[in-house]
Amino acid sequence: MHEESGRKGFMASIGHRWREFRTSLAPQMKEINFTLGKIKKSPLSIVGIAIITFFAVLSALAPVLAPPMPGYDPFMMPQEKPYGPIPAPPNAVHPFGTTPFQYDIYYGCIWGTITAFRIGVFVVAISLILGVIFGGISAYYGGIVDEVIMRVTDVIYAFPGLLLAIALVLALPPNFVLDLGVWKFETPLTSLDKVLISFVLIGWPSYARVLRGEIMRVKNEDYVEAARAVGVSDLRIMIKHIFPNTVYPILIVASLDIGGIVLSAAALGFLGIGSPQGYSDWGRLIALSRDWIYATPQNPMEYWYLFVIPGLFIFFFVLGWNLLGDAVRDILDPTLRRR
Amino acid sequence: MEKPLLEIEGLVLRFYTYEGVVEALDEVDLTLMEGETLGVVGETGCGKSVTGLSSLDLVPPPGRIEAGKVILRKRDKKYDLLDQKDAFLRSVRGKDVSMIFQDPRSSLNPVYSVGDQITEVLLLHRRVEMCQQILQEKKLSRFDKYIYFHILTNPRSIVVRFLSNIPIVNLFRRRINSLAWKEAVEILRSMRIPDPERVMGMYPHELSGGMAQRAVIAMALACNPTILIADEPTTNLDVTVQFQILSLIRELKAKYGSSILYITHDMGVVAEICDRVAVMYAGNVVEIAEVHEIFKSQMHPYTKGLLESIPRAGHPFKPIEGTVPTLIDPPKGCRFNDRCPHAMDICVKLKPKLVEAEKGHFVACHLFGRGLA
Repeated sequence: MHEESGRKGFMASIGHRWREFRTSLAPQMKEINFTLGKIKKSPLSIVGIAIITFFAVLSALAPVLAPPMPGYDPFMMPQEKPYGPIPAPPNAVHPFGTTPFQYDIYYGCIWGTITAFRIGVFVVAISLILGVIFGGISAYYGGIVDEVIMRVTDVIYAFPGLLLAIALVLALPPNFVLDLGVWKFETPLTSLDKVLISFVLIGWPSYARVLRGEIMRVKNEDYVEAARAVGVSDLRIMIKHIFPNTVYPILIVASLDIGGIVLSAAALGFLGIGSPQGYSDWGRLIALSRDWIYATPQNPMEYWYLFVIPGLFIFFFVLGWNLLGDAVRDILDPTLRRR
Repeated sequence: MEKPLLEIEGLVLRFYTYEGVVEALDEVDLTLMEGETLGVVGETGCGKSVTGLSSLDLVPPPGRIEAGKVILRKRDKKYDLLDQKDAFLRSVRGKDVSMIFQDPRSSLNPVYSVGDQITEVLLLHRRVEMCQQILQEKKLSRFDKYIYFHILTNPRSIVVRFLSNIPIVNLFRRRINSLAWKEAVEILRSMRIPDPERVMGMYPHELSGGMAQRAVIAMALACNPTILIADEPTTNLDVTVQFQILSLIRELKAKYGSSILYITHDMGVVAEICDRVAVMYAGNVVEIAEVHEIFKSQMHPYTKGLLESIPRAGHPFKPIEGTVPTLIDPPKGCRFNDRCPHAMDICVKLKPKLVEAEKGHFVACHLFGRGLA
């Protein structure tokens, strides 16, 4: 009897804690509902979200939709023997046909989705982090630090992005070695890694600059002064008052950039830089059939499936991210969202 | 009443700009007595606002305080704010001395609701008090009790900061937050804001100007500061709202017993709210007197000119001749000498000191200097 009541008390206290936790979430739930309502009102952002969701599902289901050959790297496209140079049109075995040397286009497109996500999300995430760090340092310390960081970004801006990317890919060593004396880190760099690294190196300055400009603007706002006047510490002002007011523009730029990065990666792939021959990568897939794009004077579009299908994948992927970027702006920008 | 609460002594402030050194404040002396409202009046750019900011040691770069003292009396001890460490200054700002800025809407952070911003002030300065209150009032589990005692002994403990980020466990933080929220609602209610619960959840751009200014005043008064520095709090409001805010400030002053340093250029407001007035011109205090003396028997030629230049129906408009000198290269001697109708030789050579011409009436002018007139 006593035991039971004691136990009940314990359970009740857990229940109490849980209920209080749930009621405390009510404001957040309200915000989420508000956001969903905002999204529902703009059909284009729904389309964007739908496209990106579709690609996400596609990449998640890749092992089911296009089962890799056991014992092989799943990102390498399977090749049909004999490795004849003439592409095959869509058929029962190869729904999207095959490229020259008989790589399966369907397989390449499905697994290429994962590659595209990897390129876009990785590059943008790392450049965003670097941009926030360097932009923040630049704006916070000012003076000589600011000058140095901004001149570095100027140097990077001075070159055409794609050309600089090509140069960097070629200049990067085959092995990445970090030797700190006590701790040594070594990893081989695949050609795709090199593309990612060079895109990051080229990508961070734009975020750093936008963030720096925004912080410079917000730093002199009255509410920052007001926060200082009620005794908020500098670090807290930076994190709590300045950062939320400055981060939205770069988040929006970032979500728009994911598509652009994939497009540039495809361009590099088309030039033969980046992923190795036979790797599931949309740009690489088109590069494989470079010589077959214009077939014969009688029927120039005879091998349309070689470039139209991977091209459509790239097109929709980029379109999806661009539309999603608008949605992100609607969701995130606090001055727009309450209007 | 007759105890000085904030004393500004010989404050020299310069801005090092590209065009040159701006001598924004030149040996400013001001004393704010306990329980009084001291008006600081003057034209734009005469150094009113930076005087307010310096009394919190908040002068923005490229400004630098070159000399002088800002002495705050806190629990019968005197502190020179310009010598103190950052941590001490932060504990003073918002708690003992707080400030209301000119534009209410831009002095609220657009990404946080009004409630978030008022509770932030409360949580910054009154966390310990709130823990005590919770310990007294509520039945708590052993864990929560331990945490609250921990906060009491060590308010900035890393353990507590870490635990407060884990859901379910951080119930203790939410109790403090909800207590702060309740207090903030009460503060807003005392600001005569209708339906304060709703306003707490609103964002700055959803508020009207008067409402936003009330929220800003609520933020400033959240911790019952002994000194309130009001930097033209009614300038951007229309006249009816201005009147409401003024009567609110007067009411709150009576209720909380704060002293107010009221910075304005509006003589009407001065007449309405101030006990004493300090008139500033080009970085100098030129006259300090009781409010009715300023209006009836003002001494300094600038104060006279200022009062005559108030436009009135039926009277010819009489502005002060000339313009405010640039403070990069201010006139030698008295800074008003090139516009003064009574200028003498000595005015160009020697800077007049602020002297007590009559009891409680200070003036910095050679006309009233000892034996120099």
